[in-house]
Amino acid sequence: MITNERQYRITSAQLVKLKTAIGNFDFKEATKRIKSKILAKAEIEALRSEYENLSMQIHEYETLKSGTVEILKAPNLEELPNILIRARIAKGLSQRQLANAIGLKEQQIQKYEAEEYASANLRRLADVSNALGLNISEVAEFRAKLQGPFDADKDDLAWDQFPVKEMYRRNWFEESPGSLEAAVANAEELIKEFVTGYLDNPVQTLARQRVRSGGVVNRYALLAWQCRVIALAKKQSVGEKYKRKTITKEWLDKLAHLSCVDNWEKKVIDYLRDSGIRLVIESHLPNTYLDGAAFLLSDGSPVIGITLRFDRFDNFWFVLFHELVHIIKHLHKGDIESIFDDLEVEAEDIEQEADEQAGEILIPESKWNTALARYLRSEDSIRDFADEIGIHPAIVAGKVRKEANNYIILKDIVGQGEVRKLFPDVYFS
Amino acid sequence: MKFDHRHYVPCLRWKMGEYQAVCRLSDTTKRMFTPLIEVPKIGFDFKEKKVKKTIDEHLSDFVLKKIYKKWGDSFCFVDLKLIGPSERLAKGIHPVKYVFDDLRKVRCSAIPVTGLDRDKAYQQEIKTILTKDKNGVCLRISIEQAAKSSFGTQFSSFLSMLGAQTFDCDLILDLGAPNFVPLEGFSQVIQNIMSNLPNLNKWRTFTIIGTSFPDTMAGIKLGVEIIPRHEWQLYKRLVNNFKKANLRLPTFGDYAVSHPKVLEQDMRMLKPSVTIRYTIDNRWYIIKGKNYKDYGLKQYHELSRQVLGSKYYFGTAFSWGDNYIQECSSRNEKPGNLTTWRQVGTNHHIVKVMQDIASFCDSLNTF
Repeated sequence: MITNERQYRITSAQLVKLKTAIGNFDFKEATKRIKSKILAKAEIEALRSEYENLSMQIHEYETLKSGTVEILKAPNLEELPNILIRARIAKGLSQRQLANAIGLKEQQIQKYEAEEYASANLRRLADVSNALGLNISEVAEFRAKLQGPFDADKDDLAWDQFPVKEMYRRNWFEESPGSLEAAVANAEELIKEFVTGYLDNPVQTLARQRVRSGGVVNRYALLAWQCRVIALAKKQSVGEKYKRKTITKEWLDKLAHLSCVDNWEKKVIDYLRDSGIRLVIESHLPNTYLDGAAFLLSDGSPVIGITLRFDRFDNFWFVLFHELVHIIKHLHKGDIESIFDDLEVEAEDIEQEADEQAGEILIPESKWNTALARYLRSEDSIRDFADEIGIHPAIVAGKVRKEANNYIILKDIVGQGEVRKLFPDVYFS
Repeated sequence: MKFDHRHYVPCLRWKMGEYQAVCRLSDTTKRMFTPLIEVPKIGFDFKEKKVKKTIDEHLSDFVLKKIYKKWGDSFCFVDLKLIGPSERLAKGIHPVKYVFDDLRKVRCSAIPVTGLDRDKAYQQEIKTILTKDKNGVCLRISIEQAAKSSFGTQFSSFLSMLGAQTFDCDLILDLGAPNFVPLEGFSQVIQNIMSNLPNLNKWRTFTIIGTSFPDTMAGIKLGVEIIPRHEWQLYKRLVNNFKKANLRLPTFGDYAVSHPKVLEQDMRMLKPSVTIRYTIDNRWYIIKGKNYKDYGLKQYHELSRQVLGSKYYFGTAFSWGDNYIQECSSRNEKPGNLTTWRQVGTNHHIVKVMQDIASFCDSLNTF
């Protein structure tokens, strides 16, 4: 199990190496080298299984860190050490922070976690549990503390909460602030200028943000990101003004069919623009766990921002349709000015509606119910079904993975690592 | 023996746990089902980095000691799909030929199993056996194959290639281990495929097999877990629909208490847990202990005590396996090992499923 950032970096690097090794594996050469087909096969299988193992560890660590895990449960006391480690990561505490909280050295926590708290006495376990807010009842239980509602009564923004360093790194400020140190020193001024350049009433915009997230999100970072997306959106001209009635079932189906044509990334942007919708790709800022967002510009024209936080084909298409549903159904209603989505979090109300409808447009339930692909989950059956309904197989594979709640399977056809590179002008960390 | 929907076809990877389980059934019980015997592949010795035996050693006493002595000479399906297609015995003899030559010697009524995906050499051997024994052939078809629109034509040219007639053929539709949920949608899919199978009424026998048994015990929690036997629930749903539509009713088959996927793993690296896989109404009751390498096999005494004390236990007279559970819990029997418990689970499963089939058919009023 990965327990800290250092291990995470090492494991990520190992994963890249393994991927290359698997890609470069020459079966014939290996057979010749070890003089046995079986051994050559075992060799590649070993690489694959190592790869799966590491990607599972990375996935777990990322999921925990993303703050989307709300409840962790241990069915018995033996599982307690595991929960202690996972709860710490999910709470966003480093080993050092936990150590400080209970008056120990960082190395001690490292040691405990490495040996799964085998040498810790009950007193120590209790200290750690308390520090992590674990609830030891019939089972050990951990609930992440969700961020409370944003205080809309404030009349000004907390300028120091903006991620100025990251914004500087991404070159977002129109006029160069000079060095990073200078930017940090003049942060308030710089950011004020940046934000008010794109938003008439940032306080109100912030108050009217609707955020779907399972963890603690920096709403100021979301606001900064939104300004950036507005900046890029304003550079795009649209064919005609957006009209709700343009978006018919046929229009949506045609958009879904674009997923399996060449140069889709350009065609999608053009297709949306022709109907007055702007699409911007901009990677998310730290502590935002953002997949995508939908909002209206001051003239009422809609914008979709997609972060490609998960660099997968199926993810792009699902997020796109999810945000489209928001535009069609939700953005004109009430006080909602902008909707920000972390789609890993369990959905409620309008989010659930957007999830369901996005799913239904891409893969109608009536067809899915009797699709062999739903039951066999094999690459062939997925390709056949995708062909039949005219969408990219990655979207079908993504649906299977979600239903199976297994993100290890079908990794070769979900287009992992295939989307970001289609947008070479976008900065990805 | 009447091989219709009152019959049962367990697909068994014919290793010690499985053939001993079958061997311990009574002769009357044995007449009520037909095993689909899968000749296991040769084990791999990871320490020595080579296969444990040659193919000659692997197959030399397989028929006599493992089929004839354990199952007898009754009707059974024998499938060599797990044996590598390039394997040949001394003098270039094909494994299929070798096994069926031996089966002929002991006058066993074994039916060779083939499918659309076997290679030319394999099909050639099947063809020869078919001509020689005139016992017919078993065709094992996956749903993916059967769902193709070209299946009808592909299949009829396959039959003529083998020189087989429809009424010589036992058809097995093998679902493998799919996702069964939602059951209603899946049964619709299967029903469409089955009703489109060519000449449904003419096949000698017609069976559907599949399983929802998990592929690994790693995901099972410590203690008791109850897992649905979706294949059985699917089968009942299909039969009810087929009956209404006046279609031929299929025979039920499954993979007993195993998953169809064969994993070649280095046992030195693994620490398998002790488990008892106990088949109950529509589900499996699985009880899992800790790994046996660190915590020993004696855990089986306690696990069997828990099975015995659960509301699901069928009583010591139900099967040999049930009796063993009782004896182990009272420590009259040794705790055994993983193979012993595969034997216990499989033995109990076969008896339980045959009982399920009998009462289901009763409810259909077809006797």
